[in-house]
Amino acid sequence: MNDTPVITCSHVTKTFVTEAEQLTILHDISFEVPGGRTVSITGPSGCGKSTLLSLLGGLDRPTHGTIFIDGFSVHDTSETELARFRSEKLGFIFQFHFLLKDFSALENVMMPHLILYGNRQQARNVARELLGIVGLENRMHHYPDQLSGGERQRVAIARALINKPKVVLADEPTGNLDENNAGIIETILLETIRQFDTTLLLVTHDSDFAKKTDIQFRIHEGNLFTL
Amino acid sequence: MKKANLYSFILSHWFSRKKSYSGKTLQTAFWSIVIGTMALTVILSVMNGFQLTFINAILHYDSYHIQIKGFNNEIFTFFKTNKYVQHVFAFSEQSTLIMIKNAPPVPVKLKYITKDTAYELGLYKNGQEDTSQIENGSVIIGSELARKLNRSTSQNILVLEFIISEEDGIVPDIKTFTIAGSFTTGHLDIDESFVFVLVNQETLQNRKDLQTGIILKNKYDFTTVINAIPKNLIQPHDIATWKDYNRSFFNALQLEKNMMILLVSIVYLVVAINIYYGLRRIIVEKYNDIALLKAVGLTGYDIQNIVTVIGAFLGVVGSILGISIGVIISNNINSIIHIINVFIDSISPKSASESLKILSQNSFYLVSIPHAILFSDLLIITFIASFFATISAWYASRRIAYLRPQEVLRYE
Repeated sequence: MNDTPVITCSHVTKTFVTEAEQLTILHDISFEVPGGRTVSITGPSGCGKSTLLSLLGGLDRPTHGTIFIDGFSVHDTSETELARFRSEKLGFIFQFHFLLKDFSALENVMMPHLILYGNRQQARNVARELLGIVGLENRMHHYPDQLSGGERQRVAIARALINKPKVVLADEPTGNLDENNAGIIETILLETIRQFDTTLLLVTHDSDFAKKTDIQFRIHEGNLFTL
Repeated sequence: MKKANLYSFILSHWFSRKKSYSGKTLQTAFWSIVIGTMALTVILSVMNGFQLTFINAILHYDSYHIQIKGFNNEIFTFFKTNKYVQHVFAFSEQSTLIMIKNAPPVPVKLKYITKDTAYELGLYKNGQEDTSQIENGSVIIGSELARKLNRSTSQNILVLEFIISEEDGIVPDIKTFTIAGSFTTGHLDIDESFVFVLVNQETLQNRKDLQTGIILKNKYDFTTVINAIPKNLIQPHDIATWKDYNRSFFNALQLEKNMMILLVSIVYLVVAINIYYGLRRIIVEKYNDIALLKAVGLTGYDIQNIVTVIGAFLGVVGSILGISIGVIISNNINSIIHIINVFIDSISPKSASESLKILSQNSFYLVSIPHAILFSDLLIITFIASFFATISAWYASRRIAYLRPQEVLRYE
């Protein structure tokens, strides 16, 4: 953990233009997150939490403002460089624990490593180790449709961490799970993130889960507030 | 190598686990390429077989590889000592008619050659006909002509010949020739219209329209041979090559072959459309996968490459498999047709079986089906199949470039 900012977001505005109207989802948002911290963003549905996450992940571009992650300029880089950046510096965890259906748990975890380094054996070894950490050493050859919701989300956590990213972006990781499984995932996620000394930026509706993070933000009507 | 490893990893999983509807569409496209390529290989092989044997027969019996107007010892010696030349001989020819009692005359090409030349050209084999017993002025005629005239060895035929006379000009003359034997080339046009008059050297030398025929070891060496001819020996306008004589005919054959390739290539066009829609369906089926792969670091370009590789794979592997099967069928085409005909014989009544048989000798002037597989044809077939398959896959993959992962990954 250090105090050097890993995420620097300055005056970020995101406006969606449709035929009927111009809709500004995020208004002039600025914040910094030091390395190794866990951060939560809460807010009502449609307030722009997931949009902010997409901007930070380079999946979308801000209308105005700048975003730097570990010194990398996310807001104005080419698609190819962004792809490399996502592979190297970011880990993603989605609400619907998106896994590749035709790949086993082990192969799903291997994928980002394989994209970045191209070495199948090395990717397999690292993925095995990570699946052990999230408690799935006996389920690694199962396919997504043979795993429970909680197990799939653990696979997604392992996949997000395989390249030892600087930042993990998690969009409602427990939103689709029952209370028991949600609790397990919360514990595993926060423990592994601290173990890897990675920064976690978490979007959630669950205020109890949000309280377990080091820094808590709330988005309301497109503005960001520190809690 | 790194990319190839990644692409093969993704592709092997997309197509190995679950059989999707789009996967079946691609399987159909693959087998269409195999069958189309196989058919095209067999068709071209048989076409080449017919064309090449016909061309070789024409060059051997009629136009030869090089013809020179006139004949003398200097010309003979020059070509006889050339390393590219197989045979050099004197001949005289004219188009004329064979007269038959109570029937219309039959048009033929009359060629005067020596007995030695006839032997060199393979018009009769030593032992089958004893050359010493063939009288001066005997003829060897095409087997189909003999059948048409209802004449056999030792019988006579009447030939209308035009004699060139310095005093009277061209004078018609009816001559009687004794048939010494017949020849078969397998090509009706030659077998029914050629008469070779065998004469001795002295008789041949006395003819006024004498020409020199040259057969080369390799017919494509004609330019080398012509370039080596001294200008004082033969005037350039007195030289004609096999390409000059048969230009329009050979061009027609090439046109026929090109049209056949073009027509059968339409199969590949249909297959390309099939591949395009199959891959479009796969892209829709794998939309979540593609969005996720983009989110974890794969570029749109990578995913476009993966989809294009599918098309290229279908084209290259499909055409190689199709060509392999096509070559096996071509090399055994006569045995295959024989087996089919035996089968037809065994299941159909005797009266009908002959009409049902494939290429029955009663209907077609064929001893066997010739075939020739040209490497250049195989290369063209593979290229066309692979090109159509790859282009259609690339075209289908363009949609991926516009895929926005955040739109897909936000909602299931």
